[in-house]
Amino acid sequence: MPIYEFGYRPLSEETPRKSSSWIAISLSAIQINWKSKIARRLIIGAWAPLLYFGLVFFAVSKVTETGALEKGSFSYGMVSSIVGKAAALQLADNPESLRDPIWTILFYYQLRVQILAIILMLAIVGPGLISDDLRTKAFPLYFAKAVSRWSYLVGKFTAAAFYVATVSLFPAIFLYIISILFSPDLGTLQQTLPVLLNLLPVYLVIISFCSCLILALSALTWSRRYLGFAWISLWILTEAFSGLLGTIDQIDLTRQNAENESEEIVILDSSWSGSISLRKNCLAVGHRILNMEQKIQSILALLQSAPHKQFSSIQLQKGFSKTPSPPPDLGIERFERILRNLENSQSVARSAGILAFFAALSSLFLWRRIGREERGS
Amino acid sequence: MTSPMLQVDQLSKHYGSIQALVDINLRAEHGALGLLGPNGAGKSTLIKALLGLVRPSFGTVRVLDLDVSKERHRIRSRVGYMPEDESMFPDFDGIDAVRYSGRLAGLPARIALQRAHEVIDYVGLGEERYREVSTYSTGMKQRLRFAQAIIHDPEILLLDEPTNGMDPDGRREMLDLIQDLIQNHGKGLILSSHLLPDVERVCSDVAILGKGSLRVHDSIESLSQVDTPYHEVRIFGSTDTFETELDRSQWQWRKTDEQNLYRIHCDHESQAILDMVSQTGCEIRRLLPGKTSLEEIYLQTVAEAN
Repeated sequence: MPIYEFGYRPLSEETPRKSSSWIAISLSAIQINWKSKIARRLIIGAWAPLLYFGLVFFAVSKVTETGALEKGSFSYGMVSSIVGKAAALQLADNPESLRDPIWTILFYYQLRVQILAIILMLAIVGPGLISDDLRTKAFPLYFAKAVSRWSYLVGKFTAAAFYVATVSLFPAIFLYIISILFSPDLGTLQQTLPVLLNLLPVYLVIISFCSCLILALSALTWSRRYLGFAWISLWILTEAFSGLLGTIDQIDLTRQNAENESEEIVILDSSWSGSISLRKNCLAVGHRILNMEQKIQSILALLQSAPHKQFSSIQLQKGFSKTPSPPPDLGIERFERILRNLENSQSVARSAGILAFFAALSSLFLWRRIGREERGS
Repeated sequence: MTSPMLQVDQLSKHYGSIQALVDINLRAEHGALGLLGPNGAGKSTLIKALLGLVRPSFGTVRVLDLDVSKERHRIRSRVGYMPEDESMFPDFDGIDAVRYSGRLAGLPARIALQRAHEVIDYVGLGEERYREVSTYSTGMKQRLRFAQAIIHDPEILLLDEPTNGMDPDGRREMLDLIQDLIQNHGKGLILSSHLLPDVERVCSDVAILGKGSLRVHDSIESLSQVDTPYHEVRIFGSTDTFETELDRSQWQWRKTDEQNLYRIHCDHESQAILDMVSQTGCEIRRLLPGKTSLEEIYLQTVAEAN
């Protein structure tokens, strides 16, 4: 008998009915957004920086191999352009000492790039996650089916988190695996595993924060377009406002130093300007978890302890010109600048507090908003 | 004694100063109950209260002997709900929308898909299963919502205006499906509608709401019984003579809106009316023992409520 002639057939008593609804909600949201061409193209675009970072890690690996440091070689040129000649030579001479901090710095730079992809990705897939259900009045269909608001929210959160991870965490993990495969020995894995383990909580914090925030926005109205616009505006405006306040702070600081008769330099103490920017808050928490300051200081210590003579001898060993001039780029200034920027950035505790506050506020709002749909008012 | 399908005690619900439900007491055994009432009478609010989708201001609601305030998830897993409005999962095709409903009801992925194909064939959307839901007509969307309500094989169906916006054929088919589930598969039904023929056709009991309160709750059969029996008589011939004769008979009578159709209240057998008509020289074209139609009760109840 063809299936369409069966009529109504009751489900058997043994049919399991305990499948988790949040998984279904999550998979369905992922599946629906996957249909978006823009989202798929953005994923490809978000993985594109990996080509560059892949080349850098490849170069770092090559530098640590014997004989790779020939003058003018691609690997040497690339690594020295990023970390300076001295650090490149140190890395070649003693890879164990610098590998961990240099990998950390590179992954931190990758994070800075991927944040842009996160914002764009959530602008595309995020607004519809809850607002579409509002627009199509789908809540009675969910909550008439034994779906708890917890399952609903976890399902939607997981879908948002998946797309954020697709353009941030997954590329980072992929990059790490590729870098390990390029490495000259398995010791690299042992030395750099902490980098990966530190990266995971960094992305976890950013993914959680961004997903909570976009879901809360998505529950505000049924208009996708406005929500996407609001999301992008939120990041741009906080960044612009932060930049503006930062400039005012800087002018004020310059003026104070100029007027200071005691010639004692006034240092700006923990300005609020950075804390206004959502992006800078994410990065601040990121560099703290990655322990960037300590990594850079360890590089600086190594470079400062390497005297000019030693540097020259390394050059000789590696087949460089015997002529010591022009003075080599030790890269100290470069790392000092990075360190200074990190120290000048806002208080990490404050940034973490701001992210936690907004994530908690968003979660609370969502809990109450979806609760109203589930249980009525 | 078996537990009732639903038991509502002193249920009230207000939204600010607006009273949506006022002191509703309702008990229904397993069967088909029709909820009737004009727009704004509180039918949808009552249905949502049965699912726990509306928090009562006062009173208790029990469905399948489970307290809605404490065990709403267990109730929802045993009830199939078809909402009144344009509720729809966005961006799905037909089969995916039904399958998704099954997954939400806890069915594993493979079983949900198989079951979705079965019920989508059952409701008559087999040919349209791969079309995007947004392109469906109103009638097709109603069928789809019905499929979503029954995918997990619920014990009770809560259908809120299931035939709204359907053409006559579609409406008849939808009522056939509902009737099939009640009669052949033992499902309970709570049907909210303002279409009286729909309720008369599939329900055994009816509850009429007016301005948020329960006005009437009884079986359709007993509501159709009348205190004073009457007959409907259509005659052909001189109506004046016939009416004079009726006045002399001392029976209560009235002329209806239809041409030459009279409603005569008399305790006698229809033979007495036949004899009386033959004396007037008129011909009888119709003689039926009268029944009070649900529509009449409904209109009367609503008028009283207003």
